Amino acid sequence: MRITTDKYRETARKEMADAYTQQFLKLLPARLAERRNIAFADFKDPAGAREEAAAIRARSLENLAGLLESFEEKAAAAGARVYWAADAHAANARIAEIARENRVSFVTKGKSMITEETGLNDALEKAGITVWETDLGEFITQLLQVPPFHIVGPAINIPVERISRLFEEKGVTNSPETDPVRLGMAARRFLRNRFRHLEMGITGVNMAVAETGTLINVENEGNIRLCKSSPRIQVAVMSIEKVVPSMEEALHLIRLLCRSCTGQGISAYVSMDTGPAGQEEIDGPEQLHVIVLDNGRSRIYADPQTRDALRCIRCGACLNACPIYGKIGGYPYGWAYSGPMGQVLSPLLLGLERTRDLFEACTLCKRCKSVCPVGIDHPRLMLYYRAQNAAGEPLLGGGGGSAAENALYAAYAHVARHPHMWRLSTGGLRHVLNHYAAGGKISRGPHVLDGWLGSRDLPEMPRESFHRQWRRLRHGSAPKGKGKNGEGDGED
Amino acid sequence: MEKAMGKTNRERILRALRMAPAKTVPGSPEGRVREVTAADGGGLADMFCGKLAEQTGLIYRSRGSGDAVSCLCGIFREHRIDSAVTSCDPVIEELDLVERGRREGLCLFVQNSFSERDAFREAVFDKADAGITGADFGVAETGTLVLSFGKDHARLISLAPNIHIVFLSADRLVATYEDAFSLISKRDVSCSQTVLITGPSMTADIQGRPFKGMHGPQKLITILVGQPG
Repeated sequence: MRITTDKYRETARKEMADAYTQQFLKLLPARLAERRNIAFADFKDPAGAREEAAAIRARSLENLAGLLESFEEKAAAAGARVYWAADAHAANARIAEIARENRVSFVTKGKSMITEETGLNDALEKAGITVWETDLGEFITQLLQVPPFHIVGPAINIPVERISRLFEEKGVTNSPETDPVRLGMAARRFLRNRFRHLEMGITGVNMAVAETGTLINVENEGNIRLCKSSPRIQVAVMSIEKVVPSMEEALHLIRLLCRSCTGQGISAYVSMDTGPAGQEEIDGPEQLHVIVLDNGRSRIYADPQTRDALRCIRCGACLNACPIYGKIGGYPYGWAYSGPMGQVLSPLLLGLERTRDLFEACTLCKRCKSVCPVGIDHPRLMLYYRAQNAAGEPLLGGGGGSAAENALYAAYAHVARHPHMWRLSTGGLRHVLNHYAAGGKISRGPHVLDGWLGSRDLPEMPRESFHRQWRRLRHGSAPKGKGKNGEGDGED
Repeated sequence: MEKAMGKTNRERILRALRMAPAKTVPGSPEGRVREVTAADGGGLADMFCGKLAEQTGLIYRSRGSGDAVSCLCGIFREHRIDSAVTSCDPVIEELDLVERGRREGLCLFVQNSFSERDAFREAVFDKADAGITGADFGVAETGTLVLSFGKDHARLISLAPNIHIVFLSADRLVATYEDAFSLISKRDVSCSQTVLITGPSMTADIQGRPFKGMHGPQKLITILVGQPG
């Protein structure tokens, strides 16, 4: 997948002008948010249930190294082959090697954000191995070569006419078909033939259990179960933060994940693997390969401020709550992760400067934080990114701000430290801005303020500053001023 | 490659995690915060059936093992099932389902009649209208079936055919997932995969239009056998 985080504004404008996208955005996030709220009412103590999930994720992270070692030991004892990969390239290379060693010509994949992140499909195709995404939404986005629109419904915004043409072109159907159910059934038949002869299935991991060495996947379609049941070889790609201490803790996180994601008490299927299938089993994998992937996470972990981002369980509740996502949809975020989840994760994984539009496009309304089942404070993280990017923090890929921006802030700092200059400049600015006032509002101004005033109005400035008015009222008259209307004095 | 994937890499990742500064973490809140309201009040069977029905699972009640087969025959007729593949897990064995079903004229393949993976895959993908299995537990909290797989219980039986028929003994009903896993952890034999099933396969990925049977079974039929213990 091509990363287009640098085209955020351009793509957002395009999506805001797309009537079809807008129609979906009016319905989808609100419907999912409503379903989530209803599902949470099942808990005796909904707030307590979320606090517990946050505590589980936080303590899992604090003991991450120990939990990973325990997971590895238990999974290996059950017969899994565990590999540690530093980055996406190493993980993809190992998976391609497993395919080659086993003379596999095609693989199927279950929906997995981590393999979107690593660009596994492209890497395998380059190695001559055909990849079939099998989640219906992912299957469509793979054929269209577009990023996911929403974590729950990656292709939910694609018109049926476009899917119909696509399916005909790719041989999924033989004739035009615009009924969503018939299109889905055509995809079932097409992919079923792949599952029927499958030799290697690849999945991500929702959670890994340290005490048992178990891998857990959550889904509704059954494609992940097929990826893990039909072939002789199963590959699970797991980023390091997925591990939790015990099955009990994993089960509680599943309660939160399903309710937050689709508003279900539990999804149709939750599958839990501890090692490969036994020798006497007629199906299930003879080989289970687990790739434990870092890909920048140990660096994110090193900073206690950014460590909280690793709590994320990819439920997508924050997308449905976000007013920005609700206007622009998933494409502008330009990668695997969209909405506040993407605004928090992508900058850490790709670097701050490259993704600055993501964390700057936040109104800090905190709705994401209010629904997060694991207690991530997205707005605080985005403020931290802004500060670190301005400071040019090298470990986080901070760009240090543009030369013009830095010059502006340096000038501001200088003026703010010198009262006389402050009075002069603010008085002048007051005069300049009021020149553009109309109807008591300032909606436009000098070119340099176009960005700021593009989406905001200022009230017309009073002729005098607050301090000047205060002194005048207190002393019964204005203090001595040098400029017209008192400019150049009384500002603070 | 070896360096990127090997022991050095493992140690480097673990060392980086261990060297990171510690952070104070929030403690767990007081009270029974993991519980959902469905887990108490009312009978387990009613809760289980109600929750599973919400997820469009179909439920039949059988008074005991004696009429389990006649119940199955009725399901074959009602859902136009010509043939089915069965597991030979303890629930199915205890009901003597295969012999009794065959005597009633049902076309049943048993998983242990296959010795080759490919022949078995062909049967479950192409020949069987339904897959019949037992369930280890039924969890009332969400109407969830718990199935553990092994040599007597193949994974694809509950997954590849268009209909999944499950026999669940009423004395295997528990209130919560934790109750089920606590019992599973006490077993002598571990299994390679455990699955929680709550309803048939589903999706709404095209235009948000929901439908059943995207990849797995279109229908999930549970036969609850006997009275809760």
